[in-house]
Amino acid sequence: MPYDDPDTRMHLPLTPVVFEILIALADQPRHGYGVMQEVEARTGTRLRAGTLYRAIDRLLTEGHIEEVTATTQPANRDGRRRTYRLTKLGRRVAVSEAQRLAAALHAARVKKLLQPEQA
Amino acid sequence: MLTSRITRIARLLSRFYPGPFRDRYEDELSATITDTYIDDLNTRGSVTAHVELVIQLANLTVGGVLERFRPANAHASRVHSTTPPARRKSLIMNLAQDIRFALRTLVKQPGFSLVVILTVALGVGANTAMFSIVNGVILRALPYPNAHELVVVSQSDRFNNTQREGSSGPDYFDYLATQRAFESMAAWTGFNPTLSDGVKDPDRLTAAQVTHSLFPTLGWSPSIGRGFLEEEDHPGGAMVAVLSHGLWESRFGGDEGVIGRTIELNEVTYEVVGVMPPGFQFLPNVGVWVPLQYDETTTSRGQHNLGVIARLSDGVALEAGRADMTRIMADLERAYPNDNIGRGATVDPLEFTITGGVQPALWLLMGAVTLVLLIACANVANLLFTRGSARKREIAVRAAIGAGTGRIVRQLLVESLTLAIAGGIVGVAMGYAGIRILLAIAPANLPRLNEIAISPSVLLFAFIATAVTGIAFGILPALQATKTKLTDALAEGGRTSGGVRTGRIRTTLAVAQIAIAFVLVVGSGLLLRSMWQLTQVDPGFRHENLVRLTVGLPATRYPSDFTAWPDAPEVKAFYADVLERATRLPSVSHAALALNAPTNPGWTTRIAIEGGAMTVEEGVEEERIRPVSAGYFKTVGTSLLEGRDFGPLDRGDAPPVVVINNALARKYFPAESPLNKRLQFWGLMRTIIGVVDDVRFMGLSQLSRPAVYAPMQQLPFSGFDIILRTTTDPGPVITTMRSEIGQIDPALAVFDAASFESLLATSLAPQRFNMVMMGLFGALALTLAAVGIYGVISYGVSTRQHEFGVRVSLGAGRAELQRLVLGHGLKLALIGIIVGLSMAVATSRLIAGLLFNVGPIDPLTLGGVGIFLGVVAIIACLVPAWRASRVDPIIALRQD
Repeated sequence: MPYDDPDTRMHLPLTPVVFEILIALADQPRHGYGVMQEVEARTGTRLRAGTLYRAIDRLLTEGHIEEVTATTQPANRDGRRRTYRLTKLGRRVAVSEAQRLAAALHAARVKKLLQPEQA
Repeated sequence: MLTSRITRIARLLSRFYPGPFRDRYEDELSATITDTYIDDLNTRGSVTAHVELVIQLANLTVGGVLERFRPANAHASRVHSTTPPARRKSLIMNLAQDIRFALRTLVKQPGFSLVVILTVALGVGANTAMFSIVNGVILRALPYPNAHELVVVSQSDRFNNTQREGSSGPDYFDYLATQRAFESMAAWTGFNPTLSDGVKDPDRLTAAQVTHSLFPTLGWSPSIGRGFLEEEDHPGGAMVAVLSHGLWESRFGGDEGVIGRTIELNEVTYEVVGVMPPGFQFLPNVGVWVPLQYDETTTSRGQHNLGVIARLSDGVALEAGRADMTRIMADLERAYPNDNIGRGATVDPLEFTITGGVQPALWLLMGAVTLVLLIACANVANLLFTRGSARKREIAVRAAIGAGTGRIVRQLLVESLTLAIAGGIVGVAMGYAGIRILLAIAPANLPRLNEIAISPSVLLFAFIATAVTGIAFGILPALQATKTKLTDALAEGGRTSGGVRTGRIRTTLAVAQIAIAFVLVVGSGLLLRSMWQLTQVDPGFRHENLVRLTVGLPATRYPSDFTAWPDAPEVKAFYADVLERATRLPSVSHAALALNAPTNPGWTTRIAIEGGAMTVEEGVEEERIRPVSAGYFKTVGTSLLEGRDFGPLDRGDAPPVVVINNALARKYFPAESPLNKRLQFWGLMRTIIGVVDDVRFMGLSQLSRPAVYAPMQQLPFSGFDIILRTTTDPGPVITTMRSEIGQIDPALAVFDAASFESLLATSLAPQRFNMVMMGLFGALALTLAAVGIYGVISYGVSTRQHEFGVRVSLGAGRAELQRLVLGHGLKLALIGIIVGLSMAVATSRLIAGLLFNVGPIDPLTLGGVGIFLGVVAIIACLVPAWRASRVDPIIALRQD
């Protein structure tokens, strides 16, 4: 079970911001502003630029995401942006975090914190 | 355009981020913020977009600060960016580490941190507030282009020993014709017309008649419409007016269509041709400017009613300007010996004219508040010493595992700087509040009051003060901490003992605090004494239940034909009517009229005593002429010393009479009674019928000048004060009197209504301000010094537990130990007081100019403050003394 994946366990738990970024990049590479729009559209919460890029810097350091190199990069508006995508490690970490949260959700249901229909 | 500005701001704020991070993400950050803003603007509306923009920028800033505290090796940006020199990088990393460590240390000791932060905040806050005043009033350039070129030209009179009188019209035109040093010159004279525009009620305002050259000389031009043309500045020229921005807004609702409309000043019609910009001010509170339209045929060379301002030509120094004016005045004295005998020129920088009077007091207060900051520094340094002793072990251990001296000193300095910055931030907030308080208590006549604010230079000052403070109080303890020998510190087992050297520094600091506090408390004591003396002065009239209202009768309906003077039937009818109505009021016991109220200096004219050495034509003596109505002396409560008061028979067609004051009697009739002697001014010999007591019309702190009172029936003026003695609270009487005047003439504006109680209080406002400020600083200094001496003595007691234990076991009584501790405290206080005494004597010159009837070296004040400080020191030592006497010898000695 990937939740026990020893490579990812040291990275968990993720902060909500980091997790949302990873989810945003799960389906396609995006640039920073694209990540911001995707997260806002999906959750109604806006990541501010400062928060976003500090998290991106961390994710790059940890090797969870990487920069899409220029040749594969989709056309961008002004050449100022970089596009990011998940690395294999990043995808595994995101999956692990999702499973960790799923397990927590399950526990919450068992303990009647949540009614099944609520979630 | 706006987006490029947002990009610029975002780039600026991204400087908060560490360099490599910024290099990598700056473009993306600013692009994202700009895009968000544009999208928000299109989808959510302007308000949301701007709120969001602010949040984005705040988030950007906070993120940058946080990013700097991120562990240094954890930046992706470092890998990708060009690496900065290794040494610099490690320095920044260490610094970040130091700051993190400092924050942790300080949070762990909240009590200590809070005390330090508050102490620094008090010092920095008081300094910030005071500096904002000094900056706004003195340091900032006056709001005119090349303000340093502007000078005020006045005349001096060597016979009457005056330095700054106005110029006469003919003299002014001679300056213009013969001067060589000035690029331009302008003249003005103030007046207080009644403004009516047919829309709102008539209103009294301050106005100025100015030459057309005034605005260009000052370097300002109207923001709407135009200034004055040269052809408007001659007798018979167009009657035009320029409004101040304030009047334009309050009276005309900021309507640009005001140009071309007409207003009436004293019932003369003027066409509005311009409105000055908001920041423009020349004379205080002027609402309307009109052309001077100087008429040579009606103004004499002896009437000095014009102010003159000039702009020095490029490259001409002030001294050259002075020399040029001196030359001109010497020429004029030769050409017109009758009018210009003894007259010279005084040329002052405009800045001196505006703020010269308040500079000494403000600098003194600034000096005082700096001393308060010094005391605060000493206090914090002492606290750090105490803590430094307690941290000896920690520092020794850090040295043992390889931290160099420099590294440890830096760590300690970063700690004290962190404390100072926290204190500085709180201090600026306090300063901000402080300014509001200062502005509330500042005398209304403090020049440039509206320019006092927290400005970038004030913030810079606060920042520098904070940084210097942090280093000043941190450096000694930090250096001291590293002097400790490793083995000693570890061997002592962490017992906190200060060592002889540290003890001496701390004692010195405490003594210095007392000494400085002594100087400041003496300063406030002197100002307090001098304020007390001022309130004890007899002004020469009884100010209780006395009020004045001022009216000005417009020449249109109350003509003063100077050829028929003193016949002015309309004016005199008004006098009679207003006095009759006033005395009929139930709560008015006496009523009178005066050209100048007893708090007003009035003006001078040339007089000559009959049979004296010189006639009026040859004479050079100028004295004050004060026209009053009959019953004036009774109304204001000035006693008649000799002779009689003016009566109903002293009419315009009766023989001219005057009443003189005691000062004039002493000056001209030292050995004989002045009664029935005669003196001459304005073409007539006038008989002296009485002598009255002196009134301090020059101000409470100034002796009365010689003065001549004349009946208003013989010297009628159309602008004057109505003075009422009331039997009840004066407030309602003013209202009633206003409506009575309205019944005589509804178009008259009554202004300057005030009780003499408040007039006197206002006249003392500058002294009160100095006293309150100095008192505040003195109290602050005293409190800090008391805490300082408490700290040192208390610390001394805690390190001498062992010694006290030995003493007790050898038979010393509790009282003896208490005496020992109190004696030590008192000794420090005494040394401090003696040092302070010599400092106070050495600096007494600085405060001397602000004192009234008190010498700067006042034994009573010095002695009183000395005793007071001694008592405070003893009180501060009571608790430590009590603690010393409670020492349990068993516990104290167990440490061995």
